[in-house]
Amino acid sequence: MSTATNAVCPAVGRRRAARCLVLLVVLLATIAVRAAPAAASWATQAAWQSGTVGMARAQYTLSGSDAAAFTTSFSLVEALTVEYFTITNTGSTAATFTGAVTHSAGAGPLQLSVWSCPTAFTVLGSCPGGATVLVAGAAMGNRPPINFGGTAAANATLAAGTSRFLKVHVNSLLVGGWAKIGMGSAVLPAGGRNRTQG
Amino acid sequence: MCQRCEGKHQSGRRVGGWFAVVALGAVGAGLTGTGVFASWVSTSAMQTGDHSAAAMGLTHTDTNGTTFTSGVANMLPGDYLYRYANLVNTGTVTESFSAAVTGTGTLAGAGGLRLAVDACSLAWAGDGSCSGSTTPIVTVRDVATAGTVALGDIAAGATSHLRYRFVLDAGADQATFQGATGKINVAITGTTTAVGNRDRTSG
Repeated sequence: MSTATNAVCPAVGRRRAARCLVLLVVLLATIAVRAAPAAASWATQAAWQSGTVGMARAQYTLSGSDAAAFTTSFSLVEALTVEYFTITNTGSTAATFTGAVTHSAGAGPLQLSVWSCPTAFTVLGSCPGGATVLVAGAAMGNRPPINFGGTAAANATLAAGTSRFLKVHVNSLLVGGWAKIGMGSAVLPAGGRNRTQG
Repeated sequence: MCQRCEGKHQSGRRVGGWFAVVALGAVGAGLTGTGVFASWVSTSAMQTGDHSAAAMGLTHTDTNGTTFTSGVANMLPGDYLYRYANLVNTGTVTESFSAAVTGTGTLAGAGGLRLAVDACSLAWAGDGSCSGSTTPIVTVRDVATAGTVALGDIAAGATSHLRYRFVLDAGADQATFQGATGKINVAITGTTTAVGNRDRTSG
């Protein structure tokens, strides 16, 4: 009996396994058929990338040891001494550069004057083509803005690669200290041009 | 006749009888196998016409002296540039085209580069004008959020004359974007407008 059972059962097991396999195949086929779209649409694709588009940057440098600010010191009585520095637009496009004044003298009686010249001032302090007055004896406590563009007009731009030569005079009375002219803002002009050709 | 001889005689008759049966059987089988009574056959062969599956394809070619892959430096807010291209359906069926627009680089961020696409019914003139009718396909929008835009259906073998307009947002923040760069990626997909399962009996 035991021997007969052992002889039959493997055969029965194989038949069951075969049936199960058939059922599994049928089930998977049914799932595959249902999952596949009845009629898939076809597609083709290609991709392109534009060239690099870059935005301009407003950049500048000031002459002297500090490229970001010009500092002048003044004594208790300062009436005649003038100092010079230069601003250069090192960016690739015109920009409006506006200087900002800070100083150490609190609200003391200080007056600031700034002149601009498109060329270097002579040793005598004159501008060959005529200097432009940017600030005329303004109270330093008011922190007068300085348009480095070379004219007194607001938003005057300084072309890329060009410089303005500046002459600075601080008129003080019984107050000593320092005044610093730094960059208040460097603003790019409005665009709106067709740049298709570059 | 002796009994032994009579037995031999009877045995010989039996063998002869069996021999006759076998011979008749063989003849019958032979007659059946020779097809003497087979029916006649007529044959003919046919071949269908050529059936072909649809072919998909597209080309995107620079035109009007512009190059899609060339860039521009020192853009200012509001500056723009055009890039012209012919999008051709080189497939054999009408395709519906779309473009997935993405950006690369800081300048392609929100508030930076923008994109618009127009189509001219004829080739764009050298000066960028359209002597046919101009159709706005994609209104100006930020590249950063453009997503996938429809370029319309193009018949097999037909051409769509496209003009891309890349714009630096007029309100682009200088502190965020000055000196920054970006690129615009356009991945165009053409999809069959018909989806099959059709009765093509008539072509």
